[in-house]
Amino acid sequence: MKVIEIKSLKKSFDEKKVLEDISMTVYHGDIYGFLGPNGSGKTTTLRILLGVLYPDGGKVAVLNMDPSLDGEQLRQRVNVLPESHGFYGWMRAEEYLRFFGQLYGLQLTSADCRMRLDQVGLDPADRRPIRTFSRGMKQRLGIARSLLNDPEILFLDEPTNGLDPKGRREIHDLLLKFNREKEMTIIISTHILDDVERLCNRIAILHNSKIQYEGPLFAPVVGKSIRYRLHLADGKNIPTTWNVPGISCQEKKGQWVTCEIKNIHPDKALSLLVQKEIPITEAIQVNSGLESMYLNFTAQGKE
Amino acid sequence: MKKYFVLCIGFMMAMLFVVAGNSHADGTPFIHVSIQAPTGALKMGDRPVFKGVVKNSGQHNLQGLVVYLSLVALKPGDEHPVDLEDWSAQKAVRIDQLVAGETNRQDWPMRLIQAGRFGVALTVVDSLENRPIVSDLIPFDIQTKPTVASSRILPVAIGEPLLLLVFFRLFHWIHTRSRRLMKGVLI
Amino acid sequence: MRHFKTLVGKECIEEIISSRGAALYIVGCGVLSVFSLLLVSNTELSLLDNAQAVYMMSAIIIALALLIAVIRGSDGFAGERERETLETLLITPVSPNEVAIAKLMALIFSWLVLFLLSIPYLWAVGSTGQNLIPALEYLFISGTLLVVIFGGFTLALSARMKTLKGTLSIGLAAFLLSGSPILLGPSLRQSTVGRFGDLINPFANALNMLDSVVVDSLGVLFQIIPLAILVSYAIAAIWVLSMATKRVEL
Repeated sequence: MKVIEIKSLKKSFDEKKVLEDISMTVYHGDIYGFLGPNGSGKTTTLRILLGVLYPDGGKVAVLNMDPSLDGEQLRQRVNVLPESHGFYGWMRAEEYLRFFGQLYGLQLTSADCRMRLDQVGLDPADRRPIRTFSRGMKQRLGIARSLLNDPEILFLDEPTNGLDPKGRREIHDLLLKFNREKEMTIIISTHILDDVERLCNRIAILHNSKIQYEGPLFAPVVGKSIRYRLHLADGKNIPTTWNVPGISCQEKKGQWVTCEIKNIHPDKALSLLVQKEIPITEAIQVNSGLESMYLNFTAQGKE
Repeated sequence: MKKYFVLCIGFMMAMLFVVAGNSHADGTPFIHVSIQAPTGALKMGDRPVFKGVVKNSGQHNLQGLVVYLSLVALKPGDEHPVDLEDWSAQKAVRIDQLVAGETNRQDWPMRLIQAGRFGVALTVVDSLENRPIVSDLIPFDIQTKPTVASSRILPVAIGEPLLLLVFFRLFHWIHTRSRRLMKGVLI
Repeated sequence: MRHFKTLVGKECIEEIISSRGAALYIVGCGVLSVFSLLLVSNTELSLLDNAQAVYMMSAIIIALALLIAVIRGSDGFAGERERETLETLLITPVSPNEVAIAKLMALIFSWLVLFLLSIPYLWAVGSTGQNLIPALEYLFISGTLLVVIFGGFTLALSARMKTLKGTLSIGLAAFLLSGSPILLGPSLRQSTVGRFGDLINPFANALNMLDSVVVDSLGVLFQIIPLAILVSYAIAAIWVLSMATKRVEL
């Protein structure tokens, strides 16, 4: 089911074209990566989808609503973590959640607030005003706010900004959990390709006011391979070839085998190996194809 | 002959007295000065004009007369001179020449800045005379009018900003009380 | 307007808790304290009778209220935009109109606080004289209407302009412009141009109304025209504000 559909979207600021003929589709349950260089129009697109910015042309539908006309109704069902988001520095974290909860029609109790703060790794007993929080703490609080109304679509603009690697992993796990348990559609706009690789199943690359690529994260059109290191339970009886199209083994060292996966989705490749009773106990991605894909498409866009 | 000589000397001496001084044989000055208070009730804040008159009753012209105003407080038991600094911008005038028989009139505007009983007088000084000539002392009363009571203002003016400061500080502290305080005191 | 209560509550609490809000009230009280002390210590001012002192103090209170309305009105949208809190607010299911009206209500709350803080000063200055109660009544009414007028127009400007600095400059210029005719001498104000200026200037209207009530002891019938003018301006300000905040772009 389509939750977001954009056709031929156009937007200019002071005669400078920011978005030109943008079309994209997001399906229910997607974790959709929205990539592009700085100033490519990602934030503008997100704001148009929320109805806080108005397009110059094109058609936009979010949950079958036109954001320009039904913005308030739409924003009741979605939520956003903007890239640059200020806080009311005098408020405490619990107050902040309670205030925004009320704007969504929720009467949050102290227990609710504490649970939500705990969920994002903040200390629920911390009564300091928000202005004393570190950048990472503010980011976590912003994420907690964006999850308040259990949105059907969650827009995240640089969600792991300011977080340490452990924090990033925690947020990834939280988002994956929400996506899995609540079937939440998540749109992530970010520069951090690791986040996209870990989370997203579909991506769009925006460059030079146009969508340069939209589709699955790993697509045959890419033509680049991904390397995995596989740990096998039994390192002794490893066949020389596995006869799985798209997978070729490069190097064997003890129980570790380095393989190259090409023209096939890694998940599918690994499941094929398991079906062939290859005793894989662990699979670690060594390189990514996303970075090269991204650079490829943004370089193409320059020409 | 001797009789005539004595009479002449006596007459000349009498004439000398008349010519040499500007006064009569009994000391009455040739200058007459008076001041008149305005009519009607006077109250604090009013700006009345007192009318002064200086007349040369003599037969000779007078030069360089200085006329100045004096004010005294007449409250019984608390009589004292009043500094005209805040009451009047015009405290003295100079009359360059007062021809014999001429009358000079001046206006003496005043701002009544205190209530009570006062007296005003005009004094003329002629440099050729050794005694100034003073008008009659004209008493007048200045009524009070209800003005601001300082006993009410001071506590409010000083107390309210301080109270407000304390209030905001307290409110701020209550709003952002620390975890330690919560654990130590409230829990 | 279902979020109205939440938004107004947040704005009002921010008034009290934030140091910015507290500073404005303390400075306001400071100004009133200085004027009160001058009333007893300065030769010129100590000659004023109670009615005149109450009138002058009321004029200062209104000027303070308008200054606070212009400063906080300018901050309403432009300040939040600069602090990046406006986007977080507008991405919730609240309309910009609701935000605008809530901010206007908060300005009226500011005025109420200032008015309450002023009552002791007015009592101290005018309780032994005439017309203190009418002075308080008309001060409340005219102050409220003026705060709606100046606050409303400034909020509308704040919603359309991108920067706080620009909004504040224009707001303060308008405030000074409306206050400057009052500094003209009585003879100039009595001229045709002066009287016309007084009629169209809401600030001057309010002060003339206070003068006629407190000093001249004139009744309510004499206040109908100035009140009508103030109410018209207030309605216009609310209308301009709602038009300006129908769509607020980030």
